[in-house]
Amino acid sequence: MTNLTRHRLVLAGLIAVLLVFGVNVGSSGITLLDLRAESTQAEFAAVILFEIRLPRLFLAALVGAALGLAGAAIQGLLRNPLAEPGILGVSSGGAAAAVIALYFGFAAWHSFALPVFAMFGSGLALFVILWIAGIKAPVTSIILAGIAVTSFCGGVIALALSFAANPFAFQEISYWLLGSFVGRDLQHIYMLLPGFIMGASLLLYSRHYLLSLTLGENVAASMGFSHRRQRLVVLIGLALTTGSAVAVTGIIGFVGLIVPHIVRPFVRNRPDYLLVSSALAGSCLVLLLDLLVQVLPTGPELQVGSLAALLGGPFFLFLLMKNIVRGDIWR
Amino acid sequence: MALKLEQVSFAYRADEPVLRDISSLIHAGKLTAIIGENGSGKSTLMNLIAGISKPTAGRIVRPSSDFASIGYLGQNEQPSWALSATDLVAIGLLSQRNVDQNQAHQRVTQVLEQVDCAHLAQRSIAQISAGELQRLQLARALVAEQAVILADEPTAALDLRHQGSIMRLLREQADNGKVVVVVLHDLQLVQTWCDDVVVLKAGRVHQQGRVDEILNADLVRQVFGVSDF
Repeated sequence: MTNLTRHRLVLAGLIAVLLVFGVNVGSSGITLLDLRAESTQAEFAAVILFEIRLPRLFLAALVGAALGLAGAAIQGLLRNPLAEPGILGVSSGGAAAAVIALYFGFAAWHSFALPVFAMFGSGLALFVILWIAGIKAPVTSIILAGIAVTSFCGGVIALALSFAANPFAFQEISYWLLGSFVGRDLQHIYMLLPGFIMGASLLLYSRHYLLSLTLGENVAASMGFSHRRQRLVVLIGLALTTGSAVAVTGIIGFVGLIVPHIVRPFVRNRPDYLLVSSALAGSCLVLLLDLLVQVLPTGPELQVGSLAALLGGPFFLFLLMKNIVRGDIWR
Repeated sequence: MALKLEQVSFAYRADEPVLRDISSLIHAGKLTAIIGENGSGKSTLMNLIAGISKPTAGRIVRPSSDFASIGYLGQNEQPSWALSATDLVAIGLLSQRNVDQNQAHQRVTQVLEQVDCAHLAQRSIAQISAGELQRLQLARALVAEQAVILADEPTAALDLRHQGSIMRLLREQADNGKVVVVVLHDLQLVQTWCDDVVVLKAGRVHQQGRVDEILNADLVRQVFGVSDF
């Protein structure tokens, strides 16, 4: 068994453990053992376990996979370990579009309206960033373009919030934005799956391109990769995965930044191997975060997005400082 | 077998041609140098031959139209991730279809030996010297055994010994019957290692032919405006 297979099996095992553990954790105190109780209580337990907790766990695992995968792909495309859908405004683009869909009631048309809006918003944000900065731009320009897009999307969201029809709408939108799995059910998994599957397929299809990009654009082109076509594929893949994840959970930042960074040593820094491994590790991380917010004694449950930001913010600063000290990022 | 350039022109903007009417016959089995001032169009010409950009006029006839037929070593560009030496070289096989893992492993091992880097196989490229990295990059360009090898300033930023080792490897490729084209600034290297030379000036072929026949003080004065060759 190669090292690659081994660490992926470990990650998959970890996901399984977290799922089994997670299904036993919740405010009602019901565990798998209650299934063996007398009939009415067992039925009640089954509803809690399989219709409330399990969908939430699966959703956390899928969203984590989407974020980890998107982070790995965007870092490969931009050839930079500081890139992340959240930092670059791809998530806010999705969120702003989703808020528009919620605000104007488009989301009520069909259950897929929200994810479609979010995917479109993410794609548009990504397109604008790459259009402003150019794909060959130094990472500083790309991050600055990302900041511009993020603030604009923030403005759109704030506008929607300040015109919210009533306090409940305001609360609903702002809670949703914080990134959370509370109250998510099977319906949300169905909303996420199509975008996730298509996006992940496109990103995995691009693995050889991302690998060849390691040696620069000319070398990649000399091997027959068409930049225009391949970038479009990655771009659509990123928009589909990030957008559909944002649509069901709001913004969970930093997962796409942290996960590839942790995984990279296990895949010999290969941007192609990084994709699947980051997806698996992203699942683990988000499952873990979602379990943490449930077991932490914080009174009202913390939002996963807030916890991710609390942990991710300092981590990003640490990365930034390490890279500035090493001096190899600010080309 | 040869590489043929037929009245090749290239322009990023219509009113500013970078290359004009380049015609040349580059023979297999010869080491061919492209020389010229900065901005004379050397790298642009290499990019056209490598298929990285397309000529705006004229055509390039390669031994095979497939990308898989070209090994391209670009100007010193730092890889963005610290891959292992083996993984870096194996990237050269991405353009090849029908290469299974065993064959790939075998080819990579072979070519690492060929460039004297077998001892680096498992090493991360973050821990090797610029000269070694350039040899690995060359190995990556050679690993698929293409008929055409292109190297754009492969010796830039290398010390004398490593310059020599890169040139020797390119020489070997030419001697094995391949089309080998190399952009060089160091005319001593051209004189020592190359058979033919294409001299570019302001996007046109100023002169071309055998190194021992045309590369002399006169030419250097005309092309580079210096008199101490």
